[in-house]
Amino acid sequence: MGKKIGWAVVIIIVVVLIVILSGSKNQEGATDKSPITIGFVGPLNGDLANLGLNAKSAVEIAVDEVNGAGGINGRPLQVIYEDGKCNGADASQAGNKLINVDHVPVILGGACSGETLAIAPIAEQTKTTMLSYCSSAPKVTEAGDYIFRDYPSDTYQGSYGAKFVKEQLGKTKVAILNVKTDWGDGIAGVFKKSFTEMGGTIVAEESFEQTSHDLRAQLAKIKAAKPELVYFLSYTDASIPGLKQAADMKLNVPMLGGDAWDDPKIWADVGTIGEGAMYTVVSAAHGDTLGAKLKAKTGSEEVIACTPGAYDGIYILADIMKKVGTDSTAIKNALYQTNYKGGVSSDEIKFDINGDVVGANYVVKVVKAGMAAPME
Amino acid sequence: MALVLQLVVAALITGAQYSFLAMAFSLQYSVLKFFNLSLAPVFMSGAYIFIAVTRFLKMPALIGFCAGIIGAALLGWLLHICIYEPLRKRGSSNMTLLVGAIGAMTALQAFTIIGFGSEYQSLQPATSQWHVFEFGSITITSVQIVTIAVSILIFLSLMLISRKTLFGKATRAIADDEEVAKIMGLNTNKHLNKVVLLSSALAGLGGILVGLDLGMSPGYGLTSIILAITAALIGGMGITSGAFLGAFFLSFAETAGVGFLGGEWKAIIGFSMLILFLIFKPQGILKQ
Amino acid sequence: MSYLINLASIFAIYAILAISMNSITGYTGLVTLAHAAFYGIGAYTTALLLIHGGVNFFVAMLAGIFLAGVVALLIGSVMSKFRGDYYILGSIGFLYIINSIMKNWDSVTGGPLGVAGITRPALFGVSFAENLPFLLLCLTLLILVYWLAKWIVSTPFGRVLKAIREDEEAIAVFGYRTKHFKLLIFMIGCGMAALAGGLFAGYIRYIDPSTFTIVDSVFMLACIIVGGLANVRGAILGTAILVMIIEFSRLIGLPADVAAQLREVIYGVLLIVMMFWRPQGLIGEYKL
Repeated sequence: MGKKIGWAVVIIIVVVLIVILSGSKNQEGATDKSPITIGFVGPLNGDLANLGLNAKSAVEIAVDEVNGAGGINGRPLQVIYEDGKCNGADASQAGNKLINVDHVPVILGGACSGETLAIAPIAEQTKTTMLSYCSSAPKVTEAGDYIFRDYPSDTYQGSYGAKFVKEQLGKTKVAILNVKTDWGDGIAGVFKKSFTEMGGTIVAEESFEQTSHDLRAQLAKIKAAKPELVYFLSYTDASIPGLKQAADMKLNVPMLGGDAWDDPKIWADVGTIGEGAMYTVVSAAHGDTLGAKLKAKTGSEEVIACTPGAYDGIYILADIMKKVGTDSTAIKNALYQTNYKGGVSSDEIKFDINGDVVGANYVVKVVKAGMAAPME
Repeated sequence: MALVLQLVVAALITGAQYSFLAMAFSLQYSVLKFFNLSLAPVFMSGAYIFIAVTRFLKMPALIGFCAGIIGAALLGWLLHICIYEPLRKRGSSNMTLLVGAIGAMTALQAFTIIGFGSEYQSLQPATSQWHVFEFGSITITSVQIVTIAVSILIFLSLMLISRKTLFGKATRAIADDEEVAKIMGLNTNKHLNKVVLLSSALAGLGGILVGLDLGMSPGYGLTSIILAITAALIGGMGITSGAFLGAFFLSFAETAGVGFLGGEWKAIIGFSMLILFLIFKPQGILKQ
Repeated sequence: MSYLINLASIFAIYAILAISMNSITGYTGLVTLAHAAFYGIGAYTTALLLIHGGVNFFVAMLAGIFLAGVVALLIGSVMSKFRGDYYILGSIGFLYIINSIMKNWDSVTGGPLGVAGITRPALFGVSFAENLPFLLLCLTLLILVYWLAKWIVSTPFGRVLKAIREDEEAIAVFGYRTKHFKLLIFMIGCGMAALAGGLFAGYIRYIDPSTFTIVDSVFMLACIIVGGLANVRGAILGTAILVMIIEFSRLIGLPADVAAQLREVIYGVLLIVMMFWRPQGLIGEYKL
């Protein structure tokens, strides 16, 4: 019995200490020239690092430009970068740190929908604004009052793809091969619905786990169904062996992919097999200007899918903070009223009542000689 | 009909790919008597050494091949003399060895990610495409044919070695009863080292061949060893020829599942096989 | 300071997991790597009932514990037929199956996207939405679990368990149905893991299948092997050490990804080192 009391006492003392120490945290004294800090969450390591790092570079460029032009009413803009690793648990920790330790009023992020959806509840509870530059899952629409995105929802990509295949390519029989993730399942579902509504037929529907590299059985079934085109939704990891296996099997039909195919690594690896492959990707209205700036900074002019949204995100937030300051609720209210013109990702950025960006500009890119370029 | 044939071919390829690690595992298990999960990184090391040699050192594929096999053999052997041999000398229980293997596997897999990144890597750049052979509407690549051929060759060789050579007889003696073998004058430690070298080389070879066909990523090791153990279990734990057959049993079951149900069922089928055999036929389908 | 609160909460949740795994492994000698699955069952049940059922958090958590107990009964009965190393294999198999269900049963579990928007618990008007009250909740539950674990050991039930661990055949001779005892403690241990899962869901407020994998089970195993098997305080000690390793690796400023892999290397090496140096753990009573 004594031992149990002893333990209880120890714990009470520890807790009391914590309460005392946390109460004495000094409030931030706002001086006129102190930096305004916001948070950034994206996958800086792992599978989708190319996405996160490209966005981070663009954000750094935007921040430099904003600060070069006088910052936010004289105060420099600063970004704390946290690695969301494109998964919920890590993103949740990252968000926690940014919100509770760094006390940022707004987070530019996450990239992956899993990241955004993980941080969203914390952001809502603490009234922290979030502007995702890349999350496309339909679920983000209902993530909360403080949650915004300047990247279109997947619902658009699937229907855009269906329209392209049916109307521009004139194909009526399509096989779907998708990776089993929210991204793959989400877009495939919308594509199927749109395509069949337009009168097309889905002759085969196959899927695979994200870690699979062996798609032979699925491809064999698809080949037997004789499709006119394969809607192949997959990330880099499975696309490389998948495309090679399809070629090995002489499945010589056109391939249409999703925005995950906007990774040069795929086309460099598969070589001639990739010739003619197409994919839908959010089009940046003025991506090339950003590309030039990225080249100056990193040596590569590559602009990956989410990067324009991240770049524009900084400008949108900076503009808002110049007008309303750093109170998160004020920023949120201002976002609903935003009409940002001249962005890199789009000529006009507005948000609807759910915080989703209005409208979506997609383009179909086609791979020629290992390089992807918008279709003429 | 063509679909079924293509699926059969796919199952044959996958079965051959599973068989290398299954046979390597079974061979080791027959004499060491514990589940050496650290064969997973040994398997992967074949592929990664190949990548390092052909891509970073820019040497021809053949050298990469040899380097991969030798490297894997060395890795497996090092793990044995540093971890398992000393632990066995102390009379450690199987669980202790297994926990040690889990530790080695975890550490080595993380090491691989630090060195090579966690992303997927191809072993062959697209520019050197291998040949695709067509038989009617059935297709198969040269690497896949080689994989199947080599796996059958290894199977036959191991059977021959086991029956006809002194090495094989010594191995079976130790597998039956290590103490008795020692008493009979066999230098069991030395022999075990040789078996470890051989089985690790086999695992590494498997890694290269699978890597050439499917590419490699660090997470692949664990999945592969579990499937290999399942195959070994199906065929009869410790019976190397059983492991070979078990590998094909497993691959056909998986392919049938994907064929009739869908791609997302592949993993469940594999693990269900594991559980089912553990419950109903832990001695495998071959008579002991 | 809120950073420390965060750390302490995560520590408490991991400690509950360690104690729960220790209850099984330390007292039956069976290593179960399926533990992450029960952690997950607790998390998912709590989260889903909370969001879709509008049920009170604590009721949802109890439901999670109950469901975990039922699943543990089913899986445990099957696994109780396996001996030592096959048990581990079977547990890995079940873990994969349950994880697959989490990933594929989209309509219920949300699939790979998981469950978001989990609200913090509230009881009789007291809200645990702030991190500090939640930490107190975690610590309270940790103390409860600790007392429960200690109490179990001190009962006749616990003594029989120890006897089973030392010599199962001997005690079976006395008419004890050893299988039932092992099954019961397995259910209790898995139920505790589900409790931790519910807490975790309430804390992070987002769960997806990637938290409940073999890597997480290995982490729990490392905690109890380092701290000491069959000693409840050992489980807490081991957890504290491993959590310190996590924090240390975060602070030394390596890129986050490398730090994470380095941690895995450390866990792996720790397991190996412990097998050599002190297989019973720092303050444990039982060697594997």
